[in-house]
Amino acid sequence: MNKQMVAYILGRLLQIEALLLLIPVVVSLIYREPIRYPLSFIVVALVTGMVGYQFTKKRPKIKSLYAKEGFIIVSLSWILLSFFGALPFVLNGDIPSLVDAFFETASGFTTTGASILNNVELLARSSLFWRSFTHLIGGMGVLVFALAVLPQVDSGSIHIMKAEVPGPTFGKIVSRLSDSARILYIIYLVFTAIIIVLLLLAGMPVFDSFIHAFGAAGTGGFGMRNGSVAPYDSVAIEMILGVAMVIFGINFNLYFLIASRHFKEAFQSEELKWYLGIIVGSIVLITLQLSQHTHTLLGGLRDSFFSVTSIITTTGFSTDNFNNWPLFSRILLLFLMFVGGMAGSTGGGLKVSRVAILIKTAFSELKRNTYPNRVVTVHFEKKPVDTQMLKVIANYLILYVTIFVSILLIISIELSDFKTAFSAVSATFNNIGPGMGLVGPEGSFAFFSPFNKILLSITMIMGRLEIFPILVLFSPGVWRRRA
Amino acid sequence: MNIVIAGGGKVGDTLCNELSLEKNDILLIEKNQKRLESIINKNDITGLVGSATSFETQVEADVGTCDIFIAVTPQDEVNIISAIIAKKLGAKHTIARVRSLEYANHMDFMREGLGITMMINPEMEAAKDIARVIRFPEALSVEQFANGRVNIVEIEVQQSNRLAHSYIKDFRNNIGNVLVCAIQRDNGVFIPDGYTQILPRDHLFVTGSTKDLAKLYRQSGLKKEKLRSALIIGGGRVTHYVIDMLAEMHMELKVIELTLDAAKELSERFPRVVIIEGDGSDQEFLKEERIELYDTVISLTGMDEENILISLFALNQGAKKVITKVNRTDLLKLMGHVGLQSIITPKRLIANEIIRFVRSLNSNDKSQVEALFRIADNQVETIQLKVPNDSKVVNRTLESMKLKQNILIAYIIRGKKLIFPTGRDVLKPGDHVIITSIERKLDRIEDILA
Repeated sequence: MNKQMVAYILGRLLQIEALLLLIPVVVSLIYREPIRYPLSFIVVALVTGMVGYQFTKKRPKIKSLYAKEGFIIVSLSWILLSFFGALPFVLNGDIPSLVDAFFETASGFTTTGASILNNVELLARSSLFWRSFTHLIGGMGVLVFALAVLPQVDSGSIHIMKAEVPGPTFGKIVSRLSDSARILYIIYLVFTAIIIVLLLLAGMPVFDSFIHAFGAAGTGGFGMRNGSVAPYDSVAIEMILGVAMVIFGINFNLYFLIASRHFKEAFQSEELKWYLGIIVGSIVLITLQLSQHTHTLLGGLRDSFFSVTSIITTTGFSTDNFNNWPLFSRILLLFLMFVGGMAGSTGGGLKVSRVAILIKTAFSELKRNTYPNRVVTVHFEKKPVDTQMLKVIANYLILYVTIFVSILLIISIELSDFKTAFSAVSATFNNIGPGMGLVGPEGSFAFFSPFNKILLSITMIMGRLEIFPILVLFSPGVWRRRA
Repeated sequence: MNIVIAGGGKVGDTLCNELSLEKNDILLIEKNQKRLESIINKNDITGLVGSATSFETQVEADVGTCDIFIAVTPQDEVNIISAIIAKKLGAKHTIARVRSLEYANHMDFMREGLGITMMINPEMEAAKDIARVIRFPEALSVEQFANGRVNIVEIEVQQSNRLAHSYIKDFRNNIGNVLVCAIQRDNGVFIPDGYTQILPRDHLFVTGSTKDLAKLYRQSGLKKEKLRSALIIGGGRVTHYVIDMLAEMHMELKVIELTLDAAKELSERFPRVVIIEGDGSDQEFLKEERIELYDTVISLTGMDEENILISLFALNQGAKKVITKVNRTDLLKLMGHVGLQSIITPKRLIANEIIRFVRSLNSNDKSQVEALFRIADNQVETIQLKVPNDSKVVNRTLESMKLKQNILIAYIIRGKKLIFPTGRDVLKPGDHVIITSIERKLDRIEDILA
């Protein structure tokens, strides 16, 4: 365990966060907010920068990083960033409780979008901006950002990127790590900018466009009005955001393939077909059911399109309170919560590729049972999936379920309603945001006890980092030198 | 530069490491996924699991747009075929490692007929290195610049030597136009200044013309007799090449080889060389073969550990020159100062050869590197640069320029004249300058300025 190097990188990250904390100050000055708002961000930026400086003062002698350091750096940095990012809310009084603020910021960085605020509209503009800005930072990954901007990359950095980029496999798109990170970020920011422009054209106010574009880009889902996107009541805005969410739920490597003119490879991606197939199928089914009940056909299409894209990409914007939908549609949405976006996207959840491979494995087992002597291999993306990979994915599912159930158990001590408890855990663990019941689109997480708020914050980070980094951090032997 | 490397063996690994550190974009094609992953985890490169000879793999790796394709898989045929495919796909340059004698004997034909830019043979390179070390018995290693007019030799300063405890600034007065451009002391390397004192057991890297170096050997008591006989242990490919070269130098040769078949093959090819079948790692056997009568012992078996032990025994038996083939150089670090003199590492040699080639390609656009050598376990780089007409350094005396630290101008070659630079010399357009530096990545002559 190379503690010096871990501390050094954490320090560097805190310094980056300190710089980013200065952006809300600008917002605050533009909107001429009371002095305590800009001041709160400046003070926190200074403190964060100082702490970061303390960590980086000593340059580590040994620069080697291995898988374990990668996990530790990633998990610690997400916790630290959420903590320091929460401080401005406490200082300026928008969210007076530190636990609440930590929950809110962790929810922002992990692009969950779950909120403890009953009335979002009370927040100052700078606080709203910072809250949504954390989506933008967290969406692509804080450390990926660091790799993109820090000039010097050591060979072990790949372990950091591996631990932070979601999905079962990780492929660099170009050979140099820093170039890969930079390309990913450029694609990400360009898309975000396009969405801001489109939202402006659709008639959204400037500040609101930024907030919602950040929310869609990171697939986070923090809004700025009670009732999320519903108050705008504009088909155009809903379409733009819906399509934007689908776009950010797609593996970014595909965009790079398109940008480098490998159209065939990009459009032949099997994961993409699964992803779009699931989305279209769910929209059709939900529309059909809604049109039989409360909605017209077009109205049903509009609401189901927005809700399905918002849930599967784990964003969590909402237009219609799906709590009131018929049971079949709600259960379908619940399934989508677990599927999540594609690997290598900004979405959370289990990831489409894992789900697809698991389903294919299950079917291959069926074949094996009917023809006992048949040799069956599972193919994905036109390549055979080796047994090691299948094992990794199956084990991930086991771990996922185990942790899900454990957290559900702990949460259930406090809650009395199964629907609320189950969806609260799945909405945080899959980084979606709103769940059902009390934590539905019109509710919030405010009523949880502080202990459970912290537990759910960690759950969100665990979901964003795909479990392992946090587990490694809390496993007892990891701080021993030779373990 | 865009480089595709096929084969992640010892050489492939070394190339990935060194070329990626020099800011090239590297893609490695390797059959074994585990092997590939371990190399990717260590180096900043991408990879592709697949066979280098597969057309699909090469297309997927975008070989058509790469600058250099390097095939270093274990099989010659795979290397040749994949290099041909790469060439036809559009790779600008292709390099193939070819070690089989069948192909190696017709390198030029293969190169021109098949369009492969460069064929390298690690064993041949090793053999050349051995021959060079034997030709200059005083030096532990030798590199040559400017068609052999300038040499860099590595010499070890013994306790009893005159040079021990002398200062660098007295060097010139006492010995003449030679320059100590780097000193290796206890695993560290530095570039000395005038006030550096030479200590016993230092390894000095000295540049000079062959004539001046000869004077140095005489003056400092390093002068050695010409080597006249050699005992070679191990009858592999290097041995085949080295016998040819040493026979030309009229050396008396004896080869000890473990397997009868290989020994037979050697005796068929080299009727005038004494070929012995037997275990060269057996000390009794070596004594029986009168190891003490040979002034050179070359250990070329397939096992690094055996080679080291044989060489230690040879030193013990009073051999004047001991040359050891060691592939895993980590072993040497463990051994510390055991007095092994000349070490030959075939994978290093060809990795250096390839890196030199890559650097010289760079030179076509902006750098001016003409030759490049790495000395002292790759810690010091000596390069030859050409001074362009419009350079900032032109017509300025060396004194007036503020140079970076750890940089030394060892020689200026102007036309046919060798200039041993002093502070008052100036650089002129068209000069070739030989520079030693510890900080790597000198591409242009301006890079020497602080």
